Amino acid sequence: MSFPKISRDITKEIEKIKVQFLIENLELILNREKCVGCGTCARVCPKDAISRGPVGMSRRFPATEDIIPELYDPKLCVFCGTCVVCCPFGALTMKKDGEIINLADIPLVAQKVMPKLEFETKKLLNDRIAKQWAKATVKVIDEECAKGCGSCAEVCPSGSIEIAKRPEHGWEMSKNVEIVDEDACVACGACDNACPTGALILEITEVHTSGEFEERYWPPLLERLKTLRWSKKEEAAE
Amino acid sequence: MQIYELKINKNTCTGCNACVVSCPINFNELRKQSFLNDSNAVILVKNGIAIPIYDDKREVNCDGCGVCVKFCPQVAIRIINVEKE
Repeated sequence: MSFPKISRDITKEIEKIKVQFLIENLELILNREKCVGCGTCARVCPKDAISRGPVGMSRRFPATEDIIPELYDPKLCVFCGTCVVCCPFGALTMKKDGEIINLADIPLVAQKVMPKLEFETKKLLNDRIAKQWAKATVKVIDEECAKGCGSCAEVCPSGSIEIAKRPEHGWEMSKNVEIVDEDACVACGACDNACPTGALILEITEVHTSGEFEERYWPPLLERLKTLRWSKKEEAAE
Repeated sequence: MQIYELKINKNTCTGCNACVVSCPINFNELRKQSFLNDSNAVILVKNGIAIPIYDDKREVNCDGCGVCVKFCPQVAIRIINVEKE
């Protein structure tokens, strides 16, 4: 018997990972109904404990039990709570000794290592509520698009992406992906995360924060949030 | 790099090619190189049955988008999330 003990429960509603140390036990719970697979937690994690899973598949067939949009590695996680604070949909919760930790009580927020995120709440499709704390534009590279797989439109929680129908005449040109409603976009980056060929790129322009922050922690994290993209990461690894 | 396992039910697969045509990564490779074989495809039909192709050294791999699962008329494909070690 050795510590930490790790246990993992998956049901259709939640994914619960419990890490039991000698003195305390910590849990990270993902609400699978709220999660859209935007990958903000993966982009924000300072320890690389979360990485991108099969996003499109998990959104298309949400009932399949073993498919989850985020791959979480409890051995690397230090339970800092950055992902819990940053998740735009409030899908992640952390528990300590069986009690839910409030957002304000997370050490990084309480000790002012992270600034306070200034967000506005938005109502989205399917009764989702999102907190938007960044502004972004989505750039479409039409050459890279695989034409009609529809992952981005399937995943987008605000319904601001549409796949154009084929034109009636052969000589008419149409865009493959159209961003219909830029104001409705929540800047979550789900489309970027789900695109299998890297045709959609999320460019974060503003992040709304206020209050003090630690110089050694927050600026590198912001840099990581803005630049880390899975399609680019694989290229860099090669 | 992540590899997602594609499981194909050999009894129900008819080899109709729908998964090969619908796969967005196959499409991109086809446009770049104008052919599909073991070196650049993710899934291919061989001997009347669709076969997923894995290799650690491959440049392209299954992305887990689930388009093939949606398009398969026989519902013969499943995708499994493999934990990396």
